[in-house]
Amino acid sequence: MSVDKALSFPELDDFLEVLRVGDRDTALGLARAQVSAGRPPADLLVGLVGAAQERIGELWARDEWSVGQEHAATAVSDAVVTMLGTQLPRPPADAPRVVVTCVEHEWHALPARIVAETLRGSGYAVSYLGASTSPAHLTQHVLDLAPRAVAMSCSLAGSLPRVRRQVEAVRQTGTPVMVGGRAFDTTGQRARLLGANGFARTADEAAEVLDGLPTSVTAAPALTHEGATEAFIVHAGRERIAADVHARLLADGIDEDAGWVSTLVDQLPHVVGALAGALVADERAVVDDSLEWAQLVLANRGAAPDIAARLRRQLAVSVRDLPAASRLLA
Amino acid sequence: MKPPLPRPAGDLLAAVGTEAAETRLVQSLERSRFLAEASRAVSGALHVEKAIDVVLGQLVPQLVDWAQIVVRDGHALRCRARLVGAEPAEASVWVPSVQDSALGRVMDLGLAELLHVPPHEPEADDALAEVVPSAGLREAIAGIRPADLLCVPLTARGSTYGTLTVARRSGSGFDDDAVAFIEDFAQRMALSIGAARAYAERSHVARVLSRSLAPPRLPDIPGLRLASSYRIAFEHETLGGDFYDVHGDADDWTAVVGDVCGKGLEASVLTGRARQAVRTAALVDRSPSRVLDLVNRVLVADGGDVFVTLVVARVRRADHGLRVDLAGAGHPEPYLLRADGSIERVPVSGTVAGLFEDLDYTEVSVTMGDHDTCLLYTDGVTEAPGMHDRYGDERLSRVLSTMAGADVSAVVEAVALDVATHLGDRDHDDIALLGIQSMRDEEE
Repeated sequence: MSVDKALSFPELDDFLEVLRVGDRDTALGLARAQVSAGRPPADLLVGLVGAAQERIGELWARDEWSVGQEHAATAVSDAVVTMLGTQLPRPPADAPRVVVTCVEHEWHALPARIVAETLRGSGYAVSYLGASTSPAHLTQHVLDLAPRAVAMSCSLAGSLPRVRRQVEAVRQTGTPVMVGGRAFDTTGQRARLLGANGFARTADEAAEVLDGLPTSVTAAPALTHEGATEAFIVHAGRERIAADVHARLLADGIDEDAGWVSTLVDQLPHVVGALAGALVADERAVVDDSLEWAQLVLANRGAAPDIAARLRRQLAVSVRDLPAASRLLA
Repeated sequence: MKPPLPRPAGDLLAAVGTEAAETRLVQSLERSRFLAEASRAVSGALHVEKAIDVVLGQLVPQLVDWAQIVVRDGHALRCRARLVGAEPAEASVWVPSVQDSALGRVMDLGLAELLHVPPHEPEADDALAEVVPSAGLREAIAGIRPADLLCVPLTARGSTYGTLTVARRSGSGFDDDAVAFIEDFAQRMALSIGAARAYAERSHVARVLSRSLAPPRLPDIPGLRLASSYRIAFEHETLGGDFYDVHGDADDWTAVVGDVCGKGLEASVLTGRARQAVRTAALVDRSPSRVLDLVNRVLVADGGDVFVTLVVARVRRADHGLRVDLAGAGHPEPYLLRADGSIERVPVSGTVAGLFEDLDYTEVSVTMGDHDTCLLYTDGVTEAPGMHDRYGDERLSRVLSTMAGADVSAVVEAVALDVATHLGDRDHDDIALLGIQSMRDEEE
């Protein structure tokens, strides 16, 4: 979930520092003090924990935090979310049920957890399925629980094709789907195109959006735009394409032993995934944003300022047989 | 794509004279399209309530202005009705209360009934009560002053388990042709709702079973922290062949991670037996070698045709940390990640349990200081296939070395995430991780 800057707390910097050193007890103490001072726990979930998580992503991109610190901070944030959750009112016994989940292969579960707790605080009975839930597993839960709706989080643009598959699976059961997360644009255009019945820009919007969803829905309309088929071709072949782009970049003269090349190898599947995301969402900005992010991450680790442009060129060569993909990269 | 219609679209129930051949053809095309769409919409909804909502949503307002579905559930009748322009409303009544009504007859005989509603009270309300047993739901339908009420049976697998009742606004009723069409519609929907009912019964059984076999919640233990991760091989199943468990009392605990032969449901039934055997054995004697010895004997005595690999750890408080005694049965050696970043393997060796009698298991003891982490795992981790090779011990050591001193949940999460990235969409074995971390200070 993206966080409105105006919502974030002045204590955010202190909280970030505590997260940086992975100090669970101090982090819990800091959050508890805010609750005691009268701050609504629901606001803290979004404005403190959510906002911090977003900043951590940027700090990692700028190479100021290590992956290890990021993991440690997430573990601490998770404990804070649990604590804040206990401070929220319990939903009534006859509360409508909602299933909160991450799209398959989404391992960053914290945004979905924040949504789950926020919805609980807004009077929903929440079944939280955690990170990476397969379409089959999700459908199983939907059939067993018959929730009012499914709320699905997606942070990575490369997972947008999976969102589409998941939306199709859930809507086939007659259940509406609401989506949210960093992979979507703020207008909700991508969410609509992928067939979601609702889109929440932030965790605190989620309850309101859920309230407005229809009780039952019909199957998602077929995707008819030009890149829809190519999206799934690129998605299925993303590992092979990433390896091919890597080889092409080496042939193009990047230094194999440079320190940032391991990060490049980690980032490549995301960029290729974002191309699939751009194709399924029919929006060039998805892949442009991903390349911009890769540029930021790699330049901060010593790559040249034209690395993203070179990456784009080699990716275009790698997918030259796919017309819609080629146009997006042109 | 649609042919031009001689009347407003969707008037599927309008009476058409025999002379208007073209009009009849268009109507029957529209009707088959409606039936196909409704069948498609309801076929994915394997939950009874959802399926009912989908059917009501198809009927109102496309076909009728009000519809009610009543389904028998034990001694109760669950009624759900939808009025044009409103959300579905719900009520329950007891089966005996409809005994002498038209609704009861439709249920008993499995035959449709068409009721004409008299124009004035109280006769009108009496007629409504014949097929709408809930007074609350009657209010909504009374408001639209229907001329007719059509109540048709919902029958599947040879029994009538419910009814569908429909009504149209004042003046409009149902002619023979309309009745036949709605009966046809109800027959199709009855199969889908019936399938949802059957599914609900089966899935209840499955849920009760899987709850007893699912990985347990980890206990809160002073002086140490625990974290786990569990991912099953078949993504559509909720049960796997790996297991972990932590149990004990005040300051003497047993942690176990294991892997039974096979995959899927059969394997998870075996994990239940293995877990129970460990629990029982630990009650007698917490020494890990004794626990393994007992588990082996239980499994061999049970037939000796299945095997289990596992590591058992006994965890006790000691000066400045924890003392952990470990023993293994054919299982990967646990990792010890020290707070300073050094990494050790705990050399537990022993034969898999369940195949051979009279095995001797040996124990290894380690001491853990503040923020040292002991990681137990199954071979689904190291064997996880990547694009070129298996995940392997080297990658596991590398990711562990970046997590020195971190909270145990972060350590487990980092490993799980790294394995998941390596795996991509490839098929894999069950994956289980259990981290045990020593904490100097008591929590909160």
